[in-house]
Amino acid sequence: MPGMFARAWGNPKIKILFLGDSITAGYGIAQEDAYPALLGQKLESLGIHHVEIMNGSISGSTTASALSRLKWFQKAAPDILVLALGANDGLRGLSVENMEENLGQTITFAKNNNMDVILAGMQIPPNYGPEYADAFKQVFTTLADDHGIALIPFLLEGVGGRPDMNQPDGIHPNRAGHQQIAKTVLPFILKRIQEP
Amino acid sequence: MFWIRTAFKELITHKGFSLFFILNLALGLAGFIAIQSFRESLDRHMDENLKEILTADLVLISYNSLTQQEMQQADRILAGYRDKARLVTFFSMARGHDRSRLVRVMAMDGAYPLYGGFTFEEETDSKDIQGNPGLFMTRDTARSLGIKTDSDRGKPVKLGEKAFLIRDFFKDDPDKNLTGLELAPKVYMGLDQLAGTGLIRFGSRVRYLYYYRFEPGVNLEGKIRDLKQHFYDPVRNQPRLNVYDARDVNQRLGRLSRYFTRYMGLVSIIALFLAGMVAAYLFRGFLTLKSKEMAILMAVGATRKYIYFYVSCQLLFLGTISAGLAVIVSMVLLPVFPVIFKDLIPAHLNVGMSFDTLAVALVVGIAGSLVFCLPLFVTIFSIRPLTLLQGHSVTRRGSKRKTLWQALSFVPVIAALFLMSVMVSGTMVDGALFAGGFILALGVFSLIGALVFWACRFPAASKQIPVKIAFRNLFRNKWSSLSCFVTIAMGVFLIALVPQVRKGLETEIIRPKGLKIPVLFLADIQEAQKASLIRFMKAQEGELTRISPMVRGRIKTVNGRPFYGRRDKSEKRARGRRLAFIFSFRKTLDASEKVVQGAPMSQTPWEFGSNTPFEISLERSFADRHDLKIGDALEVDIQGIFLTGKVVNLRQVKWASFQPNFFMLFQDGVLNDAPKTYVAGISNLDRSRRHELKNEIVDRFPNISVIDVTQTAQTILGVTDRLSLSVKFMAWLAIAAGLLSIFSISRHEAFKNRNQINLLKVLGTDFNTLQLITLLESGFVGFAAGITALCLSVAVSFGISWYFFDSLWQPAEGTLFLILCLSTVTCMATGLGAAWQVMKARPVQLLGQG
Repeated sequence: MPGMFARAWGNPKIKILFLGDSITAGYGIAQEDAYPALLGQKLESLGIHHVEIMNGSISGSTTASALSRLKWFQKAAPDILVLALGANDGLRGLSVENMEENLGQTITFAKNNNMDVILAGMQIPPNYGPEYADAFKQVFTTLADDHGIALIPFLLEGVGGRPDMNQPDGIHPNRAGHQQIAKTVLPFILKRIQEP
Repeated sequence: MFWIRTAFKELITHKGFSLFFILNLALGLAGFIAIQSFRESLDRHMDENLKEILTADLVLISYNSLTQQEMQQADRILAGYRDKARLVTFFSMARGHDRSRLVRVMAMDGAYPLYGGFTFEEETDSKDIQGNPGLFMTRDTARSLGIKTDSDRGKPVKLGEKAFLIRDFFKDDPDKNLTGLELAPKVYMGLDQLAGTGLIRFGSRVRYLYYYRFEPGVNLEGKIRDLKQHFYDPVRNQPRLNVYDARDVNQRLGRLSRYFTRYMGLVSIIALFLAGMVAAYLFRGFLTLKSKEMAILMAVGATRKYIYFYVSCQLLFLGTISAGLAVIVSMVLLPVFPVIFKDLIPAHLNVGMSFDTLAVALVVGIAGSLVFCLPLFVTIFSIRPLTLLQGHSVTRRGSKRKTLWQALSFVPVIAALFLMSVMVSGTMVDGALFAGGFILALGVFSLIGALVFWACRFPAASKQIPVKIAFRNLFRNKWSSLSCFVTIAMGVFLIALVPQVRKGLETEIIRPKGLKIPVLFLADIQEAQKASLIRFMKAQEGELTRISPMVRGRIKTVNGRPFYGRRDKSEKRARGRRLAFIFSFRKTLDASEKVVQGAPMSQTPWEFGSNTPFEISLERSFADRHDLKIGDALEVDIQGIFLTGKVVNLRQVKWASFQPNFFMLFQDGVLNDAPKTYVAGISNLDRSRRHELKNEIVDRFPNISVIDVTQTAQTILGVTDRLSLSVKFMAWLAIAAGLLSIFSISRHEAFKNRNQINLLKVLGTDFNTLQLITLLESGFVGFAAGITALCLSVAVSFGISWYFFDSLWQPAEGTLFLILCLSTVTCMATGLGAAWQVMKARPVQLLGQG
């Protein structure tokens, strides 16, 4: 993304679109406490003012809706896409092959429309069984390699499975959890917008 | 003792009157006992149903296994429980013969379930899977894992790292889910068999459920409060575990259950008022008849104190015998009722009398005799031997002191009425409202009745002899006629309230005509899949119904003020305000919903980008929860696009109808281009085809969630059907009990009129004329009282429905007409019966009885 670095400190704004599910939507907490909003605040505190965060996340959404949703947001011409979908596919035990196909099509569309894609890796809780959990985890690595995009190895690093980082349902991060996710994601964002 | 002996001796001497009095009062009280017993039995029946849905009296749910110390603390707080069971549940991928699928693992201990049970294909004991790696599942689930025939049952099903064998197929299982749509079928295993699966580790998402069963009558509210306090997490500001009891299941059934409880309260109060009214009327009549005797006794030297004692003894005796008889009659008849009304009441309903019901009936019968007659006791003040020599009634004379006493004597009556209303209805407000309404209705009927009998002077001037005599009698005896009019009107009024409220309630409970109950529910249908899914389903046996769009969005502002941060009813009840909502649109409303306030939405599609706000329809309880009203401007964020709409109407939705319904509907044109998914139902599908179709859909459209809602729908609809049946039965029982009361009252009135009829007979009136006069008199009183009561009942039932049942009101013209006919015919028939008796008896005999 040549010129993006310059744009971050000047006009026009860099638009970062988060396309995710309930985790990214900030289920159970205020929208300004969800990690995309926290990232916006962190960027501001770092003096990076010309970044616009768009949170297009929907609770309960699966990868099947990713492409049609991205097409809708294409009207806003995002520069960076943080693709954080797949958790619901996993929780519903959907086919990992289909999930890979859905995410692959979305990444291709984003790249064709000059978006820089950051793929957020997901993992499924161990109660889903080792076979499925392994196959699920592998999808994100494969996609990142195949499409040559940045991969956050595990979006819920330091959050998943920890009661102090999650809401009582054990699956949705609380405020502390979202702050941890923001910390995990920040270097990837900074790298994209600071890349000459 | 002398006065007690005299009192009983007199009752025995006039055994005809005593028997008649006892029978009439017993009938009225038996009606109350029957209704109250049925109400309690139905309440109990519904409660047992709720417990079976919950499978326990109380359930603790935690996302972390309780430590041994925590378990001991919980057991200590819940001390006195009878049984305890444990269940661990989570989703997992099960690998079958040739495929994997998501299942919901239910690892149960040997004590589960505490209520309800499995229905297996074979006669397996549910404990059979505790000692070995066995599974229970439905045949459909087994098929979806590639286990198609019984011979395949030897093939293992792998969960995590452990292989299991299917022990039996269940047709029905104890776990009933009322709200959540199940993502995956349930598979049961023994709790100890979890070891070795490797599925419960750090990061596993598991729910731990602890079930408790208590002896009947244990108050769980205090225990629940203590549990929540003890397991409170101050850091998270909420309890560490969730506690549920039957009331929570009740809440999940929502308004239906609340309506049912209130309706039953209403019917009970009506039954109580009817019984009380019959008692008061009969006691009052008794005292009026006795006033002359009292004057005679005073003339021969009895003091006023002894007169009170003498009359009280007689009243207490008659009341006690009546109440006792009513209890005996009810004890004999109640067990027979479920047999007689086999298809009218829910199956397996055990009808029994509670101590409370018997106590109330005895109190109404015994103490009621004194309380209701207090205003008449005051009239004893004015009884003097001298009045015997006067031509008019011995109780007519009044004084300021008497008026004051009479006014004060009503206080205990009103207090008793209020207390009993509160007791039967269960709440102070409801009881006060009913008691107040009752007194108001009495006032209205007295006023109208006085006008009616005053106006009887006009037909009394008729040249037709029977008309002249009948209306002249009514006009001349207007005070006696008025009391009969008011009592009958109150009876008709009370019994007419029930069917009108019932009809409105039924519109909520009963499934609308033409409603297709889905067998399968499809979620997450993508826009691109819609057309091909419709095409696919056209070639299938089932019918795709109500394919409904769903768009996720947020409410940003209401009338320019931020939605988040407003304090409203939802915030007071819940932890916080929900921000994301589902919006939808449909050109025509579903059969399960209707606009109850405001105008229907415009059929013209809204123009995107237009400056005019689009139209919004809100579900009524949703609007109430969020303090939203018609005319409010809502700014919504539809995935990055901000639009403003205006609330144009409120809808009432039958959530229990199991159709895809939404809290917020937008005008056509708003959401058409927004990214959306669809939900739909599949109905009219044969049970045998269900599994096959499910698999075909999953194969063809892998992302679509196919949820089998047969069991959930059956559970909810089963409960609503039972509610509906009970509501109907109680309405008819109330009408029957009411007619019995009217019969008692009109019989008593006819009994009082025997002397008058006898006089006409002695004066040479032929039987036909006598018959016509009686029919006109009793028929007019019955009809006039009935029609007045019905008019008031329409207005009051509307008010009751508005206040207690969210304006669910429907006119029940047919039933009202039937009540009018039946009450008039009852009055005429009893009047005629009395005329017959007089015609058969010798005049001297009648005079002797007078």
